[in-house]
Amino acid sequence: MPLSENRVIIACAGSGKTTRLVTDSLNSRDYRVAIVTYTNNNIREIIKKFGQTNSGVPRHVDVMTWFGFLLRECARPYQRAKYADKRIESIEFVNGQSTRGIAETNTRDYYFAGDDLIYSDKIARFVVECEEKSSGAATRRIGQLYTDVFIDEFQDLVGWDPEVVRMLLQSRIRVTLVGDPRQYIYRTNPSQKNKQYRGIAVVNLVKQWEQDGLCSVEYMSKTHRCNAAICNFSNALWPGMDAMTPLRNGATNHDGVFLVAENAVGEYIRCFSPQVLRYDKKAKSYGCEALNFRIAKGLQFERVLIVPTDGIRNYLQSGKLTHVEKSKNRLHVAVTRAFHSVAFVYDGSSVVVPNRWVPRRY
Amino acid sequence: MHINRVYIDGFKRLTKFDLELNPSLNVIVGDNETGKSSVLEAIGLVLTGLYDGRLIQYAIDPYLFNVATVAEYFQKRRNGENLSAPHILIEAYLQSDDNSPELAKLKGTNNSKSDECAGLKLTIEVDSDHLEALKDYASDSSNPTVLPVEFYKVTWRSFAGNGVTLRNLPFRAATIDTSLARVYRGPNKYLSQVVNDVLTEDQRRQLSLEYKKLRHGFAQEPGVKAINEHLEQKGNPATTKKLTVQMDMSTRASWDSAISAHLDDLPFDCAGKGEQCRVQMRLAIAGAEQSRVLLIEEPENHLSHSNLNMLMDDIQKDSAGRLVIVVTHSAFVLNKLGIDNLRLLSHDGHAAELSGLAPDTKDYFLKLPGYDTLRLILSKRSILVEGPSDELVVQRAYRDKHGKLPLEDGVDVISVGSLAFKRFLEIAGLLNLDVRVVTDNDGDVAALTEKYANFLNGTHTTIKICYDKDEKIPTLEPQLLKANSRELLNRILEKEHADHAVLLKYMDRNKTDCALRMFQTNLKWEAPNYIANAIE
Repeated sequence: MPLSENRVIIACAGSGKTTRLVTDSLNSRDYRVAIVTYTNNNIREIIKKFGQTNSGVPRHVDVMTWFGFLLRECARPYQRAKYADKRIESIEFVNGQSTRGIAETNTRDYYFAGDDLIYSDKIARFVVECEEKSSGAATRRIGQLYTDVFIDEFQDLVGWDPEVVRMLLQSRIRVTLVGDPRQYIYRTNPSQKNKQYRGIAVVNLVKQWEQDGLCSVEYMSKTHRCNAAICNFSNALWPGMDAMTPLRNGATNHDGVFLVAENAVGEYIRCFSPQVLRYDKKAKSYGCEALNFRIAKGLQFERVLIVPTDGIRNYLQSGKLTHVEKSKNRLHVAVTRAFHSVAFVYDGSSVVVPNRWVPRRY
Repeated sequence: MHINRVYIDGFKRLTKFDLELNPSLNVIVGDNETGKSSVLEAIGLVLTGLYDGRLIQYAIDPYLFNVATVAEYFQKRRNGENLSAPHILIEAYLQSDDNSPELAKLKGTNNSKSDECAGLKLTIEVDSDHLEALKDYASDSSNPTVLPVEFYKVTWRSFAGNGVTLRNLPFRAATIDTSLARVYRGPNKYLSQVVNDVLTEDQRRQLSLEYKKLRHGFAQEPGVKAINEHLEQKGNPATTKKLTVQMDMSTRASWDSAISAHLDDLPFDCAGKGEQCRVQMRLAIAGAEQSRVLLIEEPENHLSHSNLNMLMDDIQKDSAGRLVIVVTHSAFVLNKLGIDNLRLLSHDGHAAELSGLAPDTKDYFLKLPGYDTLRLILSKRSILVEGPSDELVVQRAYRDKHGKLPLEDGVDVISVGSLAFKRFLEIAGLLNLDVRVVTDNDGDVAALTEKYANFLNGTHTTIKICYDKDEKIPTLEPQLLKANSRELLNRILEKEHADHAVLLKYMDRNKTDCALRMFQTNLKWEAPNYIANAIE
């Protein structure tokens, strides 16, 4: 498949986006490809996929984290355009805002911890400014290194990150962004920059890029994973979004979305051995190895059992999306992990999920 | 790929040393003790991270550092002053216009000139964790003034600011040393390295795999099997585990320690040293990988003339598309490889080059068989004269004035013939060499001033043309007679010529003989003015 120009691929859960990334880069052996992704978990997934399809990452492909990419290929080579005192040794990862009350003009104190560790919330801005000051030298160099840059999980780019993406979109490098705005996982990045595009609103940013002629948008809406009932549940969370459609039909003795009463959970777990998913470790785990919603991202299971938050309970009861305004992304991630069945630990009545699982009594 | 320039600071004799290089062949010439070999070592070091065959991290040595810088540091520290600690910096600026992604990886502006280009940078500097310890050490006058390299660290990075390793560099650099010193260090060590360089990655892997198969097959041989069965039956009192003999399959049993090269079926080590040397060089030069850098140290040292000649032909033929740097003090090598590839190292540690030499001048020197070019280049001052008689007179006049022969002062008197003066001066002009020309006026001062117009107008401050303005005294012999009485010359020549005309006629007919007598006599005589000017 010849690689077209810049693309944004909005890929729903289970649509095979990692497989697509890997096969696209394997099919482009005349090119040199960088695959950039957010977390080390994702890197492992991608490398695993290369292992399955190609017994390893081929020579023309480099897989790296977003921060590794920013530091090694964007910031350091032309750092002198902005900061020549010392080599940028590494990144100082911070939660929240790194500094307050320091003027941007004070480059050293604004961007650096000590004098050689660049703050994680500022490195993207540093990169954009170096690029401007060096008249595009950074993207020229990356363009000599790589014909294609694939950016995975683009919905997680916040603050100044999208400006780096724009910088790449405007260069001669072909950029492919892959991700799912529905699976945005909120991070504490208090930067005001691009605040209006955080979360599902990243769709608007993509539309803006499309309007500016920087990319075309493509949808991968067919899921290999979730069955129709699970798709329907998820689609209801995102009115106006491109709906997920199932590629396979349910074929087990227990398919769909269910409610399970608190006192029946033990029996349910015994019958179906679902993966228990919870918001955080404060929630019950019913004696199982439970996973937090955000950790489960990128993983898949035959069946899941979700321990709902108060917001999710209210949503189940009323069907009003306002109750899950903040936690919709995580709920979506949790639900779409499953192939066959999703169950909520919930005793009350629900307008969203009509089916309740009850253990058989003999 | 080639290296545009090399910057070396604090390494051995070289401080703030900037060397621009030609795309293919470079011949570095310099007198002893100018740091020629250090330049080659530094380039090898920054391209490979190896010094003397070892990783530089494990080979830091106080003597790598500039002696003067280190001495100054100790002195200042002992006076309680602060001064930045001695360090070594070597930078190689690479040409990267071929858009190769491997070179783009090395690109950035992290170099001392903030140039945007691909490049490598190696620093040996004090580890900031140990800075205080170094300062204390240097301040304490009871410590020896040897730099404590224990406090030093090596960083090896690209101009992109990222670390590099030998494995991920897109080129290789090979140092060729004809002294065979490396051959003696370990059996086949150097040769296998050269063979390694010649084979491609794939060929090397293939060889290694075949060798492993062969070793593995050893245990399957019937004879060996029988022995292993015997061992098994007998058992071993020391262990309950099964004891067998097998070939060592670990990495230390790799092919390059077991396979040896043969020349006409004769083990390489048994061939003549000259042949070994030549084969090694040719192998290295014919290396399969095009993008290589060849560093060749004094090829004239251990080769016969004919072998050297063959080698020079090889170097010239194969230098296209790769970078070759030759260090030499042989005029033959220099002339053969092309005088326009010359980089001259001067005693003050700077490099000059000879680009822009007129084509016919270049041709002239390419054909010149002797050593005169190098004599001109290497001496502190040259006095160019027209022929052997002028040379003898100048030599003697110099000794009378300074009490020793010119060569003892590093002044070389070179007899080149008046036609070649201008060619030599062209080189001298480009390299700012200190040159005196002693020439006859041949009865036509106007023609002479026109001929040397370029060198008389004051643009070349290091070049002086010495001649007499009196057209009636056109050559050496009448000049000698002008400066000395007829009686004195008669005594020196052991003649009794009655008048000037007869004496001059005699001197003209017996030029060399007369000059020899002038040189050897115990009598004191006066040098003509223009010669006196030249030997000041």
